[in-house]
Amino acid sequence: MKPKNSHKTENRFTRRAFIMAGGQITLMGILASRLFYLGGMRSQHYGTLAKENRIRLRLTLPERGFLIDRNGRPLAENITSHRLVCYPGDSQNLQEIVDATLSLDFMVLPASKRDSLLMTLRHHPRFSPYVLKENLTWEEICNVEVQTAHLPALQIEKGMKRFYPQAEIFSHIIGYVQSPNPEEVSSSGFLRLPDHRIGKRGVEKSFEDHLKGVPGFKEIEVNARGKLVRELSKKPAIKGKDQVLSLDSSLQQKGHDLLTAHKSGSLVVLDINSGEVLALVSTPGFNPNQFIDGISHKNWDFLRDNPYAPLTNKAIQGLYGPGSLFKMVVGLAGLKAGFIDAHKKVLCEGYVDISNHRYHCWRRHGHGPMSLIDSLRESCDVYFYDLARRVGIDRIQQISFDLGLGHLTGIELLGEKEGLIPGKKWKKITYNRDWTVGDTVLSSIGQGAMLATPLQLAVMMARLVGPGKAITPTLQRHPETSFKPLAISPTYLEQMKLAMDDAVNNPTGTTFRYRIKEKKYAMGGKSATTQVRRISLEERKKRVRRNEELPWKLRDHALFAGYAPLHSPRFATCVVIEHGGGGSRVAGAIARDLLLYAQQLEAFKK
Amino acid sequence: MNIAPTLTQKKPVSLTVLALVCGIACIGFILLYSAAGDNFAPWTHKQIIRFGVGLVLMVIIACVDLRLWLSQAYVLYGLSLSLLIGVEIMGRIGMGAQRWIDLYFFALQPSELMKITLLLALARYFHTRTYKEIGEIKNLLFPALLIAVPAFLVLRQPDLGTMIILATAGISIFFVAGMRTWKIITLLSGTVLSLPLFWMLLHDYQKRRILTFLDPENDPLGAGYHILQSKIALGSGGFFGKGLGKGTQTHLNFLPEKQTDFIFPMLCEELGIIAGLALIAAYCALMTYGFRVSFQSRSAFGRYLGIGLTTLLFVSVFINIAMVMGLVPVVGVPLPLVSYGGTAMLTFTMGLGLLMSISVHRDLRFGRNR
Repeated sequence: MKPKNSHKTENRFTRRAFIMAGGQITLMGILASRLFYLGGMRSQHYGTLAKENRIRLRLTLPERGFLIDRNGRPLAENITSHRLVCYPGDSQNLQEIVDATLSLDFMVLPASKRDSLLMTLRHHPRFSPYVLKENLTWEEICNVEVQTAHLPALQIEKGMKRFYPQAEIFSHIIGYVQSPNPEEVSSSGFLRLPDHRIGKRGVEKSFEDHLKGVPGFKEIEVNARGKLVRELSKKPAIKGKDQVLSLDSSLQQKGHDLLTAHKSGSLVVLDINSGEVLALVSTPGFNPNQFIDGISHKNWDFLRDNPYAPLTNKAIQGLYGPGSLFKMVVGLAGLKAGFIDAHKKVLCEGYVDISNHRYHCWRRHGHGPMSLIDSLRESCDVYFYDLARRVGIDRIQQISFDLGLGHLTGIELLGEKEGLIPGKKWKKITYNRDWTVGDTVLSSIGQGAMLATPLQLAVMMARLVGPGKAITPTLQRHPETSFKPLAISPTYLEQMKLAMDDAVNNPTGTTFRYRIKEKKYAMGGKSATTQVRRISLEERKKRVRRNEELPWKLRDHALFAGYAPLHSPRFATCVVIEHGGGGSRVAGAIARDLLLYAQQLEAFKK
Repeated sequence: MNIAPTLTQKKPVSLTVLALVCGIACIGFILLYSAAGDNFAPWTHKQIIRFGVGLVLMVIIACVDLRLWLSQAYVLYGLSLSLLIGVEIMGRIGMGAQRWIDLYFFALQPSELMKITLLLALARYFHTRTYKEIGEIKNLLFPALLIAVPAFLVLRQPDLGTMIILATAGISIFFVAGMRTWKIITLLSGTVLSLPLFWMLLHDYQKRRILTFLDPENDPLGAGYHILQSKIALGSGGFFGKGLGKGTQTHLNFLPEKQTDFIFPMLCEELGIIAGLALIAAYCALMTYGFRVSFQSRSAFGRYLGIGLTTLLFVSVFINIAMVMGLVPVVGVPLPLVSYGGTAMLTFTMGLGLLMSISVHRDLRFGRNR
């Protein structure tokens, strides 16, 4: 025993034990203050994080609005589709599921894909469905129910699917819906849901905002593995609005049937008074139902490589020289400028020489003396060469614009082409050359650089024979538009109407053979046959080759624009058959059947 | 032995401390009941039985003469060391982490036993050394080995948390026994310098945990995820909590290991930080009791053992709570008396029983006979 040392030990112990006690209590105090910071001062922050952890917002898709024609027939609707899905997360024995799936007779897979299906399921996110097969038939659903009832991971789910009952008849005009691409997903604010589709083409695209509806949502509570625990709240989706269109399914069907006799063509039928588009067909078309779930490569390649361009809506995107249809414009310009009256005659010798250049009429030996009415009826070129030279291109251009050429018509479809009415300014800008009389002469019969779409030509016809209004085409039923009056005297328009009546119903008229024989349904109109090749001097001397002797691509375009009935016209139409040959024989015949059918439909409804 | 003990030298067991211990354990029962979705199975009923056994053991130990522990200290240490080596050998055969011996009715963790027996052995060693002897470096080698051997074995299991607890509690006895200041400084700097060596001994997942702790953003969905979820649980309860059974972090399984290592965040989420602060205060009260017992003891053995046991309690509580708050890396240390677990419950009831025994026998004087 060494008391001194023992005392020293105790002193040191007391001192050091105090230091330790102090240190330890201080550290516990730090814990307490940290806890106070987390749970007291930052509790709101962590409360929010806790909520974000467990609460998920699930969007529910709205049903898309229907598209309906003027008679209430559906053009685009939604059908319930059933699909077989697998929830791999719910199951331990994936092999059993794969075996059961493959034992279904409609799920035949080559041996090489069997293993990859197992791998796919194994790596699929838990608790989200993997789609094994879309669009089950009732028979297949029954099969699944009977054979896989013991496997809860395999389920049949219901979904909504867009369906176009009239498929190819309306392909271009209705368009189709497809899954949005990544940029469209971010810009529309929708989440990427497997059933989500947006309009990609045609009316489906241009009326997207009207049709899409408002998504609803479900607030659900999930656990740490993302599995649903319960539903907290719900707001149902609001269905998109239905859109009634001006189109008439019967007339559209008729137009489609008429066009499919030819390789490639398009037609438009307008209501002259309201501008409503009753039919708008472009052939060949495509089946929009193929696009909804993504088109197969084979089908896509077929459409893309088809020489008759089935993906192009030729009624609004096809550009053609208006040919003789433009003669009405030149005639009106002459009347308006006061250079001519309807009866003053000009001699057609089969050609005319203007500034050292000889311009031929389509009839080699000439028409003889021709008035404006005569020359429109028989489509004499020389009359209009002479008239255009005197009136000048500026006046002709102005009337063209008044009649709706050279500008977008403003129809509710994307990708519409503007066409071209050449003039002095255009030539200067494009070629840096001055406009010549020769250009004017070429323009007078709608050739040269001049281009118009079938829809523009139909609008021109509607304005020519209508109540003197600058009507514009629309796809909406009962449009609320008041049209501006045309800056052309009704007297002159009346004379054009008479001339077009003559061209069809006078025995010397170009389209006489294709007139509507029933008096009350009779139509008026003008045909055009436009060259797509240059006829060389040499060929002209020998003999101009007939269309049948040429390859398809070099044959003339056949155009016809017409109206009916003769008194107080209701319908205006334009028919274009690409490389179809004679305007009256090919396009005129179609227009005849079409206008007759339109009037009969009208009469039937009354 | 100089002075024979008499009955009058014994003091009664403190009822306040007993009540405090029971209170802390009850918090555990309530939380385990809630964590199981208002069920006694699978945790609460077992925990209550273990605590009951532990409580009886605690009172018995409190009444046993302190000199018995002094005389048997090395024997007990040797026993738990051999168990630890046994686990190491069996672990080699069984592959992977092996921390317990299966006694069929009870899975014994020798490393938990070692916590107590190491402190007994160290207290005994320093009890029998004079101030001068402690000053000599050769006399420090043996107790250093007493710590180092089990610490190394535990680290190999691998159980970093227990290793740190063993080392810290052991070194606290060195400190209060009068180890010279310069030696402490040398030891500290030696520890710092040997860190790279220590790093190499760590398993990959332990390294990852430390790296994650240093930079949690690095791995928000991996190991950092647990720390983040734990902090969310701690913070989102506010002052009064979301209510028992209503903790979303807990019941939707965002919180990992809620019944063992992460029981403290669950307490704060369901019952609020008020409850959390109360529990911290309760531990502080227990620690204060431990220090008071140590100061009052007339024997060096009692003093050293008291400090060691108190430090053991403190380090366990501190590492667990600091870990769930993201203040230290996740090392897997249960919260004393509250977390679900058999051996840990036994360790702390036995430890507290020893503290009480020191208090009961505080007036007992005995010399440093070897």
